[in-house]
Amino acid sequence: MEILRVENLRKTYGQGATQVNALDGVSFSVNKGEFIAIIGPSGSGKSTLLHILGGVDKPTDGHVYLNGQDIYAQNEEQLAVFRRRNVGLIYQFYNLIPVLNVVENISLPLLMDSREVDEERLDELISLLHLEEKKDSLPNQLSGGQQQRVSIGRALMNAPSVLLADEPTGNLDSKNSQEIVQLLRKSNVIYGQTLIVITHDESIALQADRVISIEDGKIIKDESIRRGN
Amino acid sequence: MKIFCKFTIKSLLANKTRTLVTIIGIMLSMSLFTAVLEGAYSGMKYLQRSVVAMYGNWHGLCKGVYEEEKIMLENDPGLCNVDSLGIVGFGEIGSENEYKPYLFVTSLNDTVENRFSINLIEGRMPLNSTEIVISNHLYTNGNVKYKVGDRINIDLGQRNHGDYELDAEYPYREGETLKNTKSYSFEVVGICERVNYLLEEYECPGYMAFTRNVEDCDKFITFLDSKKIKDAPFYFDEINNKLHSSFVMSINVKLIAYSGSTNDRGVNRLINTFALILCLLIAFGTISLIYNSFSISISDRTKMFGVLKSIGATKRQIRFSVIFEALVLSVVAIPFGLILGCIGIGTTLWALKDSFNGWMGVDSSVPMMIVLNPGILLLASLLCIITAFISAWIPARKAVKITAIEAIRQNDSTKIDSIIIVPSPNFNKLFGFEGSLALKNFRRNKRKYKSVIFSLATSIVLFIGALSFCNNLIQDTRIVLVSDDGIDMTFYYPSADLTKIPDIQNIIDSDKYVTKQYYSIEFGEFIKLPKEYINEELLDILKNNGADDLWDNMYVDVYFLEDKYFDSYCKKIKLDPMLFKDISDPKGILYNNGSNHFELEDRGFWYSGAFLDDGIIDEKVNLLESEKSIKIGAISKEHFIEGYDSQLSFFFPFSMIRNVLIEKTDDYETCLSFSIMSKKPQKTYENLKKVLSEAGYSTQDFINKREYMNSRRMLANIILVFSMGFIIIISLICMANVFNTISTNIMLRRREFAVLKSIGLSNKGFKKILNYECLIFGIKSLWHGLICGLLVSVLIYLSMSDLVFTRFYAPLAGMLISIVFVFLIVFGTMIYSSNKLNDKNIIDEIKNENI
Repeated sequence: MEILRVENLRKTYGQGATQVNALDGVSFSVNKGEFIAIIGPSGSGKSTLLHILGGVDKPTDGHVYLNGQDIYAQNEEQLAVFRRRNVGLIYQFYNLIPVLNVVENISLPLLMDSREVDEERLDELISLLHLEEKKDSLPNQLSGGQQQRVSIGRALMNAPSVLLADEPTGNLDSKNSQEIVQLLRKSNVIYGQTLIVITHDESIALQADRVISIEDGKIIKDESIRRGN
Repeated sequence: MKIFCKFTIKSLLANKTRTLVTIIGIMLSMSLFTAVLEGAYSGMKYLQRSVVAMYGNWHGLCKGVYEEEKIMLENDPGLCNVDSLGIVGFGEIGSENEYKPYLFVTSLNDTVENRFSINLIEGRMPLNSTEIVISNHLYTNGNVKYKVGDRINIDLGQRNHGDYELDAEYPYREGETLKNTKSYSFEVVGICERVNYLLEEYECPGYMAFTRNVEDCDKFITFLDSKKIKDAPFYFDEINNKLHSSFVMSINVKLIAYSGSTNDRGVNRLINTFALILCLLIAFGTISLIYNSFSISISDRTKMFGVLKSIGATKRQIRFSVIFEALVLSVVAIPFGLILGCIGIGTTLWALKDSFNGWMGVDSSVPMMIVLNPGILLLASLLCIITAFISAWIPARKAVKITAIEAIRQNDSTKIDSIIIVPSPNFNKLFGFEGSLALKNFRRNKRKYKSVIFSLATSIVLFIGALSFCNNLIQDTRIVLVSDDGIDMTFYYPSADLTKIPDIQNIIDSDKYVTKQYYSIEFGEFIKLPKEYINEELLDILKNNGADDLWDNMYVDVYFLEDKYFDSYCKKIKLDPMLFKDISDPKGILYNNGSNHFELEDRGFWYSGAFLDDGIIDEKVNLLESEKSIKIGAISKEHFIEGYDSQLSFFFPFSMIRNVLIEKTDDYETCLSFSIMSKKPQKTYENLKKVLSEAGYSTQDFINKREYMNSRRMLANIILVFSMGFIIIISLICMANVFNTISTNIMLRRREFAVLKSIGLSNKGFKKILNYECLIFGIKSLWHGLICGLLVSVLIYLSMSDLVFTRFYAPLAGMLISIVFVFLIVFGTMIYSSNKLNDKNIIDEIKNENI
């Protein structure tokens, strides 16, 4: 079942001679529960694509449909609520709120929505993330891997239909990277969430169901990986 | 270091708004420093000039100096500017004043005539030894009339009594004679005012007159300056011992004091106290403003510092970069501030120039004006630079302390405290998620917010401090300067010779503009008030001030009013005038609704209201000095001068003066005063002055109160305007400060806000968070600021208590204004910055690593 469709997405920066086409007519569609890796060299436009999918950046042209809804047809307020409920974003540099502790950071999307925090789900997530010992710690008291796990927790808390991760392991060593990928994979399997990951790491790309290669703002390769069990 | 300079300038240019705010801050404080210091300096110079105009331009004055002593003084290494006025001699002039029988002729030369002023009324100065200038005092006091062009033939010689030579400072003695007389003939070429009393002492038996270049003087009046002005009085003592015994020295104390001698407690202390308080306020305000700018610019650049450190920049270089920033900003701001300050204070003083006459005991025609002094301007610049450096230094220390990697990682120089905060469910319900996020932000990030709160609170303190300082000043000027009795001019006749009354009244009536006149005898007395009748409120106040025994010795005014006038006063307050004209039982009316300033040893306070209970009617009270007792026949809450607010006063009809005071009135140390009201006070004054002096009355004590009151009222208004200007500038500094602090605080957190937005924070929610933070900032800073502001205003009151006559009032208006303004400015700034943030793309902010 199709959950996400991208139509002729275009994003340009600057004007005239200095104009840069970050995205140049990108179209693809994603099925529910798919795990997609987006790869490409620096400056190829993969981060821009991800941000547009997540509703935090605006395309110059084109449409993004999530669950059949054109997300950029909404106004700012609706878009904010949309992000809160439907998208989980994970950054390379975690971007946690420094004054909030682990539990508070993870529950942030719910709190923002004025919804009750489901304690059961919170505990389940925390144990999934192996953060039981660190519940009350502030971000600056955590290691990089732990911080990234908190940010994944934040992205998962709301059970969004799409999880977007921008080089989630780019800042981590191989052991931590492996853990994070397994975690993402697990959530993909357990919660049936659609997962789109930007990565340079070949080992991550190899675990995906599908790999999209981008260069100069264009999709140059889109291949499904057949996994032999 | 070159690269650091470049780096600094680039980052200054990159943050134009903040750089501009900082420059404006430094400029404003520089202009304030300049205005205050230049104002104080010009004030001192003005006092010096007016002292010079009154007493002359000299530190010490030796009288009766012999030729060889004069030469010794001229060669003394500790003295400079030694000029001598030759003494030609004393000669009988036929004066009616038996204590002043002589003309005292002295000889000017080209240098000495610059050392004191001779105010010519008519004619010109003498050109040679056959011409002379005499004083009008010879006529008004001695009744000897010479006109310009008249010739005086006189024998001048040395005063002698027995074997003693008497110099000019010795009063006339019975049986003294003149020795070694020589005949002189002078042509009167000018008439001057009597010279100041330091030169012609009150005891001097001669009227001083001036001729020029008489060759054979053997005694002199020598003017001298001490090279070291601070030691002048001590040095003059030394000199004194070297000279012969009969020699007397006068010291121009005021000039020495106004020229910077420290052991004077008078006006220059007042000026210094004012200047010091103002400078402290300004420095405090500036530091709080600039400190913040620097602090923010440094946390802004922390990452850059980290990168620089990691590639080998030393602490010294980083520090240099910050100090260089302060220097660059100061160099740009100080010249503008200097010019602005000079223009400001120059214009103010120019507008004031005539209003200072009669103020601070200075009475001369010297105009107030700005006196630019490079040293003072340098001092102001120095103060400003030091202030800027201090402001830059504090945050620079912090920037130097953190390690390179901390700086690069942006792990923030401020640590976050792991405090468990569980907001009550009620709090969450009331303020929602946004409120609790704002609270957590605030509680766990105290260090970061401390500087915001500090700077906000400082602004409040500053504002309240400046306001209460000016308030004290304005209150005082109102009381001291503008208590008007409605009388345009008063002529004092210096004896209680009642026979002169009709003559003087006729003269006054002859002026066509006079609307009303009355005569009276007025004098001040001390009385002992019966304690049982003292108003209870006053009693409490006195007790609280530890001055229980003050009524033993209260100052009162006693008036004997012209009967006609007394009768109309009685009619006005519905009393029968005849009640007070019973010769066998003389009684007076007590004015019992005054304002009195009670002076204690270390301070004073002001009381307004009734002093005594009505029960005192028909009681007797004792006048302490004249040892008389007077009876109170009635109490009135109205002064005989409508709306006049004075101390306790007694009013009697003039016809009862002999019955009240019993003795002959002319023995009484007092004088007749004629109060005059006129439609055109200035014209009346000029006319009457002429007519009275033609009729042979001395107009030395004919006071033009209207002009005096007008100039005082103008001065009070100007002080008001000046104070307001000061408050406005300080408020501007405060506002710039708050704006700078809050907007930068928000700008620095734009990444955090972007992250919140990326996970779904709506604009409404974002604004809500900001509003709650504003509320917290406002309440916290008001809490600290209002308390400290109150303390500061008490401190200012205490430090000014020598000069202040009012009781302490809590600066409630200032506090109220602060509350309103803090929220207005804080919310205004928040709206400004959130609008600026809203325009930005979320992802640009998240990607922006240079925050």
